Amino acid sequence: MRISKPVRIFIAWLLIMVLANSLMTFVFEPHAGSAEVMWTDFRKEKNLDTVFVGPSLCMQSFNPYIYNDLTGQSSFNMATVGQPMEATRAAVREALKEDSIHTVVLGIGFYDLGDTKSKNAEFAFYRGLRNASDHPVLTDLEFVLSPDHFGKEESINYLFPWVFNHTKYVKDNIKFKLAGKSMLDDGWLNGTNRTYIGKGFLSITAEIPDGADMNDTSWNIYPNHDFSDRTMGVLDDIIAMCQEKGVDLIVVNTPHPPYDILSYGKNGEYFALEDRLSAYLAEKGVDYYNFSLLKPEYAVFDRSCFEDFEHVNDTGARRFTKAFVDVLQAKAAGQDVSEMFYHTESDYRASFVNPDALSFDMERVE
Amino acid sequence: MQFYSLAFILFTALCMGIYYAGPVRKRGGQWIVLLAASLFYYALMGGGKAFFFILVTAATTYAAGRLFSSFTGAYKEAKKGADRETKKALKKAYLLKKRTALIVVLLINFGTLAALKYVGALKPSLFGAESAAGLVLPIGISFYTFQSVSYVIDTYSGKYPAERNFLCYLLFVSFFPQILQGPINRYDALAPQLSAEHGWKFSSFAEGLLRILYGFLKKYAIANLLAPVIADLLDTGDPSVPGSAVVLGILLYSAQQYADFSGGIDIVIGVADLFDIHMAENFRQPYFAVSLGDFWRRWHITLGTWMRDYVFYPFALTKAMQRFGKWAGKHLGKHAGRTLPACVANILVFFIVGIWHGPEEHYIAWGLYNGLVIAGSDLLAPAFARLAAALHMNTESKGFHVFRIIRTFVIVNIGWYFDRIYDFSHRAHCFKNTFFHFDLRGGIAMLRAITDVQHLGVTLAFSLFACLVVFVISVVKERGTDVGRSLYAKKAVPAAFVLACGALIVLVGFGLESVPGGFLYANF
Repeated sequence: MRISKPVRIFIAWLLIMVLANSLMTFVFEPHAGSAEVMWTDFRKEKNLDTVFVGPSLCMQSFNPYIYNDLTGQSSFNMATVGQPMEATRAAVREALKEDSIHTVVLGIGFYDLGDTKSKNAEFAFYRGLRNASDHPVLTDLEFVLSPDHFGKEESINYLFPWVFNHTKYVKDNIKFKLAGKSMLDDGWLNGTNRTYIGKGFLSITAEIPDGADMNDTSWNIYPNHDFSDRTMGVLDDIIAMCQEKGVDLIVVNTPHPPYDILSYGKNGEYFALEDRLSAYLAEKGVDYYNFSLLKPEYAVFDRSCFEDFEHVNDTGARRFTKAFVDVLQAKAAGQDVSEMFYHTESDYRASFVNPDALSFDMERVE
Repeated sequence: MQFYSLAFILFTALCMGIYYAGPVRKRGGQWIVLLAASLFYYALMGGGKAFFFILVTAATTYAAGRLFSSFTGAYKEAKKGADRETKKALKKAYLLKKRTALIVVLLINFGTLAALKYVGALKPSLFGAESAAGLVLPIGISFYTFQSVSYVIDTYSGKYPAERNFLCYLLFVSFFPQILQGPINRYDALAPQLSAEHGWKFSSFAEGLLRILYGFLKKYAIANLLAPVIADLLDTGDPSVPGSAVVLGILLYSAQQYADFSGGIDIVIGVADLFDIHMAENFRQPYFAVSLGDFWRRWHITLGTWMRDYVFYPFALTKAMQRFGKWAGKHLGKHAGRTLPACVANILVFFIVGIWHGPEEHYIAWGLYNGLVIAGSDLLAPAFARLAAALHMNTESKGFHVFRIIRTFVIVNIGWYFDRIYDFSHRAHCFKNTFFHFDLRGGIAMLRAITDVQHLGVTLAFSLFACLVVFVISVVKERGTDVGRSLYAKKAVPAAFVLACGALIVLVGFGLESVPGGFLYANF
């Protein structure tokens, strides 16, 4: 039977595209991204009580091992690099399928409630989810058919994983894949100053270096200084999902170094956003804590705690996770935990010897 | 819903499935399928409020055509057997009625366009920064208004009979592929196709797919990649910006602007081809133009022909301009007499073209620049011819042809200064620095300092490669070769390979646009 030329062209085109796509995916799609590691490990966990969700701020801040030791619970850090709110919503949805989970902790910064979204991060998140899923095709369909993606380029480019998620370290990527190494054997573990120690937690040993640029701050690096309707809508969805399931949602603004807070705008922008978010979450009945504003008598987050202007390192994660547990336990004991935090810019600034002289080592008033 | 999305693919596939289905085709229902698809698409993209405006345009312009027909019919009937005086009176009354109806419809439609697009922008306190009376600017309003007005003027002048079926006419106004960005089609070219029966034709389908792919290549492998680099070079507001950086920004803009606009039109025309509807071409290798006038016969062709037919000629042929031409001929010479009315008309046309793009000063300046250069070149044509003769230039040679192309490219790019550098004073600095502070090293340093475009070198190199692909295809098209036909004439595997390369170029373009961070940690 003779196949018509148009059909032959189409078949040949399809074959070429499948081959090229497979090759490009093998060469460029990174070996062991944070999303893939997280989902693989998450699927191995049983009877979790608490999950932490959010972007890298969260991934490096909540140490599940310390949390578990202090609380006697079982927790897992579902945060991934650049995780946009839509992906966080998906993470919460997956988590809530586990009946054992009774607490979801959302660890974010103000930027995460702005309008910018990393398509790469979202895409990689879903790829990780589908690779670790029992029903990968359903996960694929969920992504491409979701209202967020159906009418956009992601719905087509999803078929080509290397488009949105590609490494520039091609040789190493090919080497790891050809060696058939487990994603936990290499890459992450041997990264400079970083170690994946399990349960979704990334331990960072680096501190803010001496030559760091003081101008690298949240205000300067992230162009959006406001919350967007889109992300607040997603936050609403997360709140609704948790409340419907009777799961406690706690929103946490993870610690930033003082110079980052004090350099956020010139007209009280930081505390304006803080007041808005606090009021919004209070109205929804959601507990919210901003650990950048934790009073020093409860925990000090000095330079030694930070990798950069927004990420804590391992020292910071230990200190922060303990402080977080302290707040939860104080609340459970009936204390007014709001007293543990600053709520006004004047009070916060008054806690520093010289709040206008920004430095990596801001001295607190004794 | 973007063109490049699963939603649009499914939407188009579903429409095509119903459109080409035997029962629908045989019962003459294909136009109904297109109408339903178009209205659905517009509602989805524009929302309910925008819907109101397109319906108003469609209804008023349709009614105008019907009124003209009715007036003409009544006039012809009334003048039968009438004496000369009566006929004269009847004609006067008939023309007055027609003209009144024309003016009212034009006022409604251009007035709406002006109120929504211009008054709101010029007086934000009156209407709000983006819209009039809190209403969103309806998508495609500039295009469908011009398209509908062309129908009104054509039926006014009796070019063709008015459409009797409002729904058929509504399809002409709202046909979904063209609604967002044109081309501005003419009723007598498009409407017969919309209402005709179309059987499945592989050639139309294949041409359409190829055109769509080409459009995606331009948009995603060139336009989208260059846009942030251009912004970094041209939007600094720094009065000491190196001229070399400005020149580079403008050159990149010449590529980005062409790729974005013509790429979008390629997609539109390709989608229409899938339904065996062939739209007016809107670009014809504009950077191969040999004069600015030629450029405007190759760039946004349908806007140019619209302006020519409905502004230039009507204005140039008015009694006032004819008197002006006679006066100029008498006092300034034969050439001036022939050319000056056209020059004035051109300046008017391009002033309107500028305003059509937007109510901002830089668009008007850009329009006037084009008008003045075209007017000037028409006026000075004999002088240029004498100069060429004096220098013994062979104006028919290939070398001179290339010279004219390069000269026109430079002239067009000067125009892009007005189009792209929005702020007046910054534009002045950019012009000044282009000539008096070129500073090549400073420009290179500025390029190297761009941080919000990762892998800048790779991105620029890749865009350049994509531009070369477009250039080669443009040369082939300029020589009159049908690229699609040539491709499909090849054997299956080579043809498939070329198509696959096109698709991969598009995908790599996406990949470079969304460049992530560094090593494995930053891998998501």
